[in-house]
Amino acid sequence: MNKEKIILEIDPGIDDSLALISTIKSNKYDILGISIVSGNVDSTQGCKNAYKVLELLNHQHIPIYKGDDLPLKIKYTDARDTHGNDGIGEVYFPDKLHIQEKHAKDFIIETLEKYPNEVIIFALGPLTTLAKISLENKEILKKAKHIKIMGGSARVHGNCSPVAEYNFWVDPHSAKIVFNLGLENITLYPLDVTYKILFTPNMREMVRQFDTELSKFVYDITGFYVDFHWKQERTLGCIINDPLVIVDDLNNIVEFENADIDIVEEGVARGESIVDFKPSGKVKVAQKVDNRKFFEYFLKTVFNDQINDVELMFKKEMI
Amino acid sequence: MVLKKIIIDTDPGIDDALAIMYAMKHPEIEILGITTVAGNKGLKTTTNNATKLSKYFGSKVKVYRGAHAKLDEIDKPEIDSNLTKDIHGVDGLGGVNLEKDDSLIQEKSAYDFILETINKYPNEVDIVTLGPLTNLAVCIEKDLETMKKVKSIHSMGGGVFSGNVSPVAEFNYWFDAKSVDIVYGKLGEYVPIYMVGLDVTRQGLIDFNDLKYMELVGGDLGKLVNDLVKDYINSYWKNNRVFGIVIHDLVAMVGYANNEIYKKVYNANLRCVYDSDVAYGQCIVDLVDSWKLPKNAYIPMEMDSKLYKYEINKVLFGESEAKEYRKIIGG
Repeated sequence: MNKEKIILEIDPGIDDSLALISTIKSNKYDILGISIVSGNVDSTQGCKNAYKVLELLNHQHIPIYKGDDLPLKIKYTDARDTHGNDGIGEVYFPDKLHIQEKHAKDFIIETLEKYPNEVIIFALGPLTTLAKISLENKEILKKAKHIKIMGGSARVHGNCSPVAEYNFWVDPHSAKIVFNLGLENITLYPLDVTYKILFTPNMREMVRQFDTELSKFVYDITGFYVDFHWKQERTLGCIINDPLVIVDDLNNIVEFENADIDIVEEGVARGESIVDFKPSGKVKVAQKVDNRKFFEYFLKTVFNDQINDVELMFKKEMI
Repeated sequence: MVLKKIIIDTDPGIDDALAIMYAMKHPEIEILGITTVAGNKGLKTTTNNATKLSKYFGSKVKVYRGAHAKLDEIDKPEIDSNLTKDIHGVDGLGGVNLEKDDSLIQEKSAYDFILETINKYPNEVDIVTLGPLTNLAVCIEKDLETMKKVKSIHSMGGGVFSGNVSPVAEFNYWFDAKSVDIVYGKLGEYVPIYMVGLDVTRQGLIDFNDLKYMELVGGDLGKLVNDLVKDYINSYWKNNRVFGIVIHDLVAMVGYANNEIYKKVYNANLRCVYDSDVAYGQCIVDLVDSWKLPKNAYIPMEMDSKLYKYEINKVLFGESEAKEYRKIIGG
C-alpha cells in the first residue's frame, strides 16, 4: 500500500516533538518534509529540535525546511515558559542545524504543485507559513488533500487568555487569512478536545520504566511540562495537544461538528477563534474525543516494542 | 483531646519509616516509645533508623532495643547488621541520608519498656507492630497477665490468600512464625489483634499520580516520601509490572488511626504455621469457622483505598491538600 504523503508544519515544542515521533513510529506516512514555523520557540531552534528527534529515531534523511522568524504583522512571543528554554522541556541535547536551503514556504508550494490532492498538511503550530503561501497564491492550499490544524477553542477557555489558544494568539493575522480562504479541506482540533489529552504521572512512569533511548527522551521532555501545568492550572500531568491530530488521522477517535471560523486579530479578544457551528460550515471542528483510545493508540505506536506492557497496564487500569 | 497512646514495634525499613512518619505527624497520636526488632535489617540498623526518624521529626521519641533474632535464636550471639543491598537499600531507608541520634537509644530493653508502660497505663496503650512479632512473644512469655492489659494491637503481617516470600507466607510473619502463633494464640482472646495482611494492604497501591501530587504539594516532606520509595519503585515494576508502591506498614498505621478505611473485617481464629517447611510462616485464618476454635484475630479483607489516601494526604500535608487531592484524583 502506498503510504500517505504528508508535510509536518510544526514548532517543536514538546507536544510537536511527540507528534513527530508518532508519525515516524507509525510507519504509515511518507513524510515529504518537516517545515518549521516560529511558535513555541523561534524557527531556528525549532529546526534544531526537529533534528534531535530525527537523530533519536535515526531518520535524518527527512528534510527540514525553515520558515520565517516572525509572525505576519506583530511582535513575536515564544512559549518558552511552557516548553522550557530550548523548547523541549529544558533537556539539553547538542544543537545541530541541518536544514534545506529552500524556504519552508517554497517547499510547501512546490510539493502541492507536484502532488495535487495527495498531500496532507499537519499544521500544528502558528499558521504564519500557510498564510504567506496563500498571500502569494490564493488557490494553492486547495491542492492539499487535507489540512489538519491544531489551534483555537470553541466551547472551552483558552490557554493564552480566557478566549485565545496559543497558536492562533501568537499570529492571529495569519490564522485569519487561512480561515478566511473558505477552504473545504480543513479539519480543526481545538482545545475542546486536546484538553482531554492528559499525559499523567502514571503514564510517564511507565514510559520511564521502558528504559530505552526513546522512552528516556519522552520522559525527560515532558518533565518540565508537568511542573508547568501544575503551577499554571493545577493539572496533574501535562496536556499533549499535537499528537492527537496524528493519532486521529490514523485511527478516527474524534467526533466533529461543522462550523465556519473567523479569528479576532487585535484587542482584548486577540487570537480568539469565533466558531460558528452550523451544518453548512466548511471546517470540520473536533468536539469529542475518546481519550483512553487516544493513549492506547499513541503509546502502542510510539512504544511498539513494549506493546505487551502497554496493554497490560491498560488491562490493570493502571493508566 | 485525649491522645491515643501507642508503642510502635518496628524494623525500619522504608515501609516502617513511612508509617512512623504518619504517626509522628498525626495530631491525635502520642508515641510513648519505639521498640526495635530485627527483620528488614539487623537490629543495629533498624535501631539506628528508628533514631533517624525520631530526630528528623524532632519528636524526641525514645528507642528501645528488642530481639536481634527470631525467638528460637534469641540466645545466640548478636550478628552485626547485614549490610546487604536489597529492596530497602544498604541502610534500609532506600539510601536517604538522615542523621542518626545515639542518645535516643535507651539502656532499658524493649521488653521491659513495653511491660512497664502497660502497667503504668493499663488498658490505655495500643501497640502497632510493623515487623516480626518476636518482641511481643517475649513479653507474653515473661508476663502474660500484664500483656492482657494492652488495649489493642494492630499488626502488619501475614495474609489469608496471598504471600510474598512464598505463595502462602508474608515476610514479617515468616521471619518468626512461632512468635506469631504465640501472640495470637495466647493473647488474641483477651486483646483485639488486627492482622493487617497482604490481602488488604495490596489494595492500597500508591501510584505515580499520588506520588507526584505529594511531591508537588508536600514540600520537603513530599520530597522525602518520594526519595524513600525511589528504589522500591523499580523493583515493583520489575517484579510485578506495577508502577507505584504498596506501603504495607502504612496501611496498618492509617487503619489504626482511622478504622473506617477497613470495609470488611472478619473475626476469626488464626494459627501461624511453624511445623512445616513448605507452609512455613503461613497464616491459617479460619474465616468460615470450620475449626470452631476461639476467635483470636480481627482480619480486615477490604479497604477503601481512596479514603486511605485521603487520610495520608490529610495527616502528612494538611486538610486542604487532602481535599484538593480528592478533587483532582477522585475519591
